[in-house]
Amino acid sequence: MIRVRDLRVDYDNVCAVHDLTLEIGPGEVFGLIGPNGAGKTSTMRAIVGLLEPTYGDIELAGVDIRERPEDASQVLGFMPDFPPVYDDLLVWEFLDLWAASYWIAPSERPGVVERYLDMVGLTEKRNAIVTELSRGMRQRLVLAKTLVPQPQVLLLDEPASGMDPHGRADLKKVLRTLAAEGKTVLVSSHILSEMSEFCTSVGIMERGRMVVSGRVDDVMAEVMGHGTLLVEVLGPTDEFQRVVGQDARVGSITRKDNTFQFAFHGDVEAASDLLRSLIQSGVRVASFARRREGLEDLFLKVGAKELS
Amino acid sequence: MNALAGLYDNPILWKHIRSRLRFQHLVPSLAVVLIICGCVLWGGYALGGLENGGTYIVLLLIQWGVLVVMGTSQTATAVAFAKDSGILDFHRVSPLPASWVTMGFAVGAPVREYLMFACTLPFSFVPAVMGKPSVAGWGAVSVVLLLSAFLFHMLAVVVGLVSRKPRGAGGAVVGIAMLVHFIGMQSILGGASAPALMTVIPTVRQALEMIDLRDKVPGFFGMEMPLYVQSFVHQLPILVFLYIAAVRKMRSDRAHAYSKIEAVAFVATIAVLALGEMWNTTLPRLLPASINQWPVLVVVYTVTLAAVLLTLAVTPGASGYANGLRRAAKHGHRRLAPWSDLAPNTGAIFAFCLIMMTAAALAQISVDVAGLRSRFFWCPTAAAMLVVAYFGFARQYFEVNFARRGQPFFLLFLFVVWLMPLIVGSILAMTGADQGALPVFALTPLVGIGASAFDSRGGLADEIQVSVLLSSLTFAVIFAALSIASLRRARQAIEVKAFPTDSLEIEPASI
Repeated sequence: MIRVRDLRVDYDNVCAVHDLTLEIGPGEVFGLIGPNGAGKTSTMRAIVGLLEPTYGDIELAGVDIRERPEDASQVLGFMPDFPPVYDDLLVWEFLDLWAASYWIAPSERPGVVERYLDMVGLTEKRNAIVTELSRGMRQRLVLAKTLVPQPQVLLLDEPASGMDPHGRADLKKVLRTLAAEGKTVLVSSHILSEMSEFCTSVGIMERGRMVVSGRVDDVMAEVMGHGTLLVEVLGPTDEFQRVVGQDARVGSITRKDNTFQFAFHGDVEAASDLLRSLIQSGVRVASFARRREGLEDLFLKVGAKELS
Repeated sequence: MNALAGLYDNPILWKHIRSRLRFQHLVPSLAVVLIICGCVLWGGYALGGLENGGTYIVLLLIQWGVLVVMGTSQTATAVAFAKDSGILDFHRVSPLPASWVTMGFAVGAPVREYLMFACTLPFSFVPAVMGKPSVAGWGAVSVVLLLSAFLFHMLAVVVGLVSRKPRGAGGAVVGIAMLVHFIGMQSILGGASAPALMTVIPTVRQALEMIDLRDKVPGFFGMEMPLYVQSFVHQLPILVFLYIAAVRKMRSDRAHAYSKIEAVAFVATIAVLALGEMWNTTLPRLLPASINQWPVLVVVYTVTLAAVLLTLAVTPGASGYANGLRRAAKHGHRRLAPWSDLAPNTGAIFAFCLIMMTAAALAQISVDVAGLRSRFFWCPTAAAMLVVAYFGFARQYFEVNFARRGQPFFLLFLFVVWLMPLIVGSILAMTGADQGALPVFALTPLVGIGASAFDSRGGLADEIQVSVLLSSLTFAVIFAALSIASLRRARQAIEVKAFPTDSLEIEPASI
């Protein structure tokens, strides 16, 4: 697990991360989102030990990174946003280098290399020189390198940037597998639509502070309410407006022609009850849909709120 | 020991062995070396150069070019590119100790050059068997060349780690290596062999019996020893301190190259090496007998140079100092421990001055023993201590007060104080105002420290001493005050936020 307490990072006169406290449990995939300059990368670099924080305590899988940095690095996998590689090595040599760096026994290394090349779909490129790989392939290679030591904690900074759709699908699969294995994953990305597919928790950073964080459903409910209903009505709308107006769970209503959109503070059961009431009142409902906001809506809403 | 253990099964070393010893790159390189060495040897044999050492010198130049020039450039470039690409960060977060990574780069990056050097050895051995140097001399030169090359490779690792532009790192470190060799050759003529002992030059001269007895290197603290042993004595401590800097920078990009304690130890080591060479020395033939404080001056200038350079390495910037204070405040302390990396450089400066004073006094004792009694050794010593002090305080003041703009302001200050007197003095001298020129020259420590050693019985000596001492003292006092004030302001700015109520302990934090 990742445990961060009172983390602060300063650059000159700029406080990049301001007293951040964060706890991510085993099996959790935590999405760190925020605009450029919010402090995501500084947070990640401080957590992996690449950046000495001004102060703050950081534990990875129960290991304090300041007191036992070498033990902490044994449980850690880190993939930065731009994947650095040794251009003059063959693909298998690159993975072998990292297997050796993580003290994997020489006899086990070939098996480990083959396994992770297979996992990221680079088996065919095994004997290619790294400089010949495309950016997406390099990203996959670095992902394989990150997985080689079988880390308990993974930090991935923009892991999908530069990957083709196949690569992204593979990445999602890998992340889900890791979460199922009980690994702790912290991932930052700008591709919020994809983050929502594999993140179990999210945190939104703004100007070095964690504005909101928690399980995706809880954060959505807290920030966005329980969702938005879109209802299209045929014929007169007076009866429709009377019925929804009486329902305390309905928020402000916007109308475009005969289509109404309103916030609804109720779960699926409550929405179903509202639909039944409308039909029983003789309202001719053409369509009734529950619109679920994604992380992008959440981010825009929180970001806008914070900036205002 | 850890570093040596890290050579076996060192992943970085194996990485370089794989990438740099690929058949298609290795074979042409070896072929070129073998062909050139073969031609040189054949030519030497045909022209009779084996007996007089001429052939050996050419082969040695090839070895030096391969190992020192190409190897050093390759090492710096490899480290700088690894840093620039970000892959060093992968090594930093891996369990591989920084000492292993450092050794992996220092030994691995020039691995092809080592192999090329190995190919030249049989060729250079032929002149040793058939003429000059002797076999023992050949062995000594080869070993010293290897150690000297490794010294420059370690320097290349440090330069690669601190360079901002990877493409320039190789050229920069080769430039430094050339400069050291050039200064080494010149210093032998001047009677100070320490810079030369960083290179293979003195050992080669001894092996080829090119040493002039009047240039005889006086041993170490008066002990007679072969020059290759003296080379080891001088190179090994420097190598250790370069290794320390490399490991620290390898561990963290933002770390200072040395802790304050390490920097003080480094200056003390330099002082010991300078003293060891100057101990009980005789006056070099190129210097006039009136400069009877020459050994003291060599020690003082050497320690000053070391102290000034290491002051740069241990002075925290505004951001670092503020972060240190915030960290201390978080733990309930108002001040940083004086020897912590982020603390002001004051303690280190005082330690440097203390080393200077001790080393100069010991040098003076040695001079007295040698019968070269000097009356004014205190003057260059005092001037040098003040120069080290004001340099350190000024550096601290500009860093803390001006943050990122501090560097150019500091350089401007140095230009005005160190170089302007040279320019103005030269103009005065050219216009015929010689009497006024000397005290102006003495305003800069580059000249002033040495000029203040002249016997005061000469007419202008008093003015020179007053000039150098007064200017140094003035700057030392001014910058000490400015430095203290700016540090206090920075501390108060942090305290206002960290300690709104005045109820916390004053004990310094050991952070």
